[in-house]
Amino acid sequence: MQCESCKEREATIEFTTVAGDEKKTSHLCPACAAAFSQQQAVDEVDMAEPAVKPTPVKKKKANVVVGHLSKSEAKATACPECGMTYDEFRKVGRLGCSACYKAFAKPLKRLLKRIHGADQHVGRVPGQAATATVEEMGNTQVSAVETLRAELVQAVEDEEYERAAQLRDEIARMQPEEVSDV
Amino acid sequence: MSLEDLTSTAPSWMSGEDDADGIVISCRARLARNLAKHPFAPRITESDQQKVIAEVLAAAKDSRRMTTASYFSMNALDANERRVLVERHLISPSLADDKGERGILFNQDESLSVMINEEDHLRLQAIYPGTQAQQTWAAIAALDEEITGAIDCAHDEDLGFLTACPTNTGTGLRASILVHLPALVLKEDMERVLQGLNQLSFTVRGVYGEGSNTSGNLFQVSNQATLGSSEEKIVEGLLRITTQLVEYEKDAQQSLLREARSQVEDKVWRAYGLLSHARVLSSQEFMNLLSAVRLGLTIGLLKVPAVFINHLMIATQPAHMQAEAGGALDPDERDLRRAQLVRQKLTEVADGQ
Repeated sequence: MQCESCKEREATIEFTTVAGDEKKTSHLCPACAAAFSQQQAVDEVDMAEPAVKPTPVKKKKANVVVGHLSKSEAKATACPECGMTYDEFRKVGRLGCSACYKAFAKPLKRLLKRIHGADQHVGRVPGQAATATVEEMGNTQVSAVETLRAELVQAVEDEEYERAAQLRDEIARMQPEEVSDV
Repeated sequence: MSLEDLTSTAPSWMSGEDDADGIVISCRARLARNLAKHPFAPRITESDQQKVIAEVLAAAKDSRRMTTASYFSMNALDANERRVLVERHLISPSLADDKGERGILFNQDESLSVMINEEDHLRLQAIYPGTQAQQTWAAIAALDEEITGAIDCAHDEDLGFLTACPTNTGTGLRASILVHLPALVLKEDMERVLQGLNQLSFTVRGVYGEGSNTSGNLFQVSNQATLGSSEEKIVEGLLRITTQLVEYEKDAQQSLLREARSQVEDKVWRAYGLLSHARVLSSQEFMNLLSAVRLGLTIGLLKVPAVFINHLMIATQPAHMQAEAGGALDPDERDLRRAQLVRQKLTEVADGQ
């Protein structure tokens, strides 16, 4: 059977996508299946929220329980900083600014859960040092060479050419496999 | 460092070190970050973009790891120069083709780079050879500590690093490996592997990132989720999957050799023969032949060094050849030049043995 996407290669994979209540099966070759499974992650953002009974804006509390926005609310809810609406975000697939995360907190929480299987960050904060063990492993030959290169640049700037030549030779010793005229 | 110097050298990640006999070519880690006080890409103005660049470069100036780094503004480069950077995995096609104030900062051996004003304000990247995932992570974590620590970064206690696209929120980390799996492809086992990887939350893409097809049996395998796991766990997961893939590929290679040794050897030597003597080589044919040569290297048939194969792969890319030629080349000229370059280089390597 021919791949439904590229129509060139043989379809060997049955690729099923689920959008809301709709289930769609395509027959794809391995290359297109790989490309689609990545596209899926992006498409998740563009997917329309599951159907919700339209709720008047006043009854926001009911929405808190359900956790997503009705169509009219999606149009109405806008980020106070950049003006992007949730509706626009769904079309563009990208948020307008960091404040959007607060403005669209509830639907984003659901979306993040769908995309990542989690909605709570476990990991680094800005400026955090790398952990001890990982830092140790980081002392590889390559980073030592980079330090030497930096010193070489400085030595040339300071017109300390003898020192620069020494550094140059040391770098050459550390990287015998560096290919310069391939 | 000028761009001209670039095309005649090989980035350090091509060295062939720790490459599991040619199966794992390189390892990459990318961190997405944004400044808190400027809008994201869909809403950013040119004036904001310039401010972002200024702030990031100021933060990078004091970074110990970026002392040998050069900054290139995309608008100051012509289309071919931008393409050269794409071919070297330094920038994405988006950064090359988009409009607006944007650029790339990278160090001399191309192991560390920072894209400015692509989908996010900053995209830090580290690429190391072979299976060196821990070293890759250590390098980028250190860079992250220095640069992200020196800017006012968009970060939330609950959601982590805030990115333009929610698919990157949290750690903002995409860790990936570039692997060569010719035997799994030949044995038609790739679909099983792809499905297995997908189930473990890994995505598989073609050689040059999002949207491209696979070429030359090269696959980029990366983590799917960026939120909910620590960065170390993500890297550990990648290391485990790397070991597994190497095992599967080696098993598949052994199986192929048991079943059809002479056919495999024939395929490898024919590829070597064609590469050594062909007068016209399309990039598709070249990648297929190079894959057979890489397989030959892995199973010990050929003694061509991995660094040579890696550098050849980049030197024969369109923009690289046009840069060497000093001007534009039409597709026929490129195919001719590619064949010429490959013949020349293979002779040099053969003579050196």
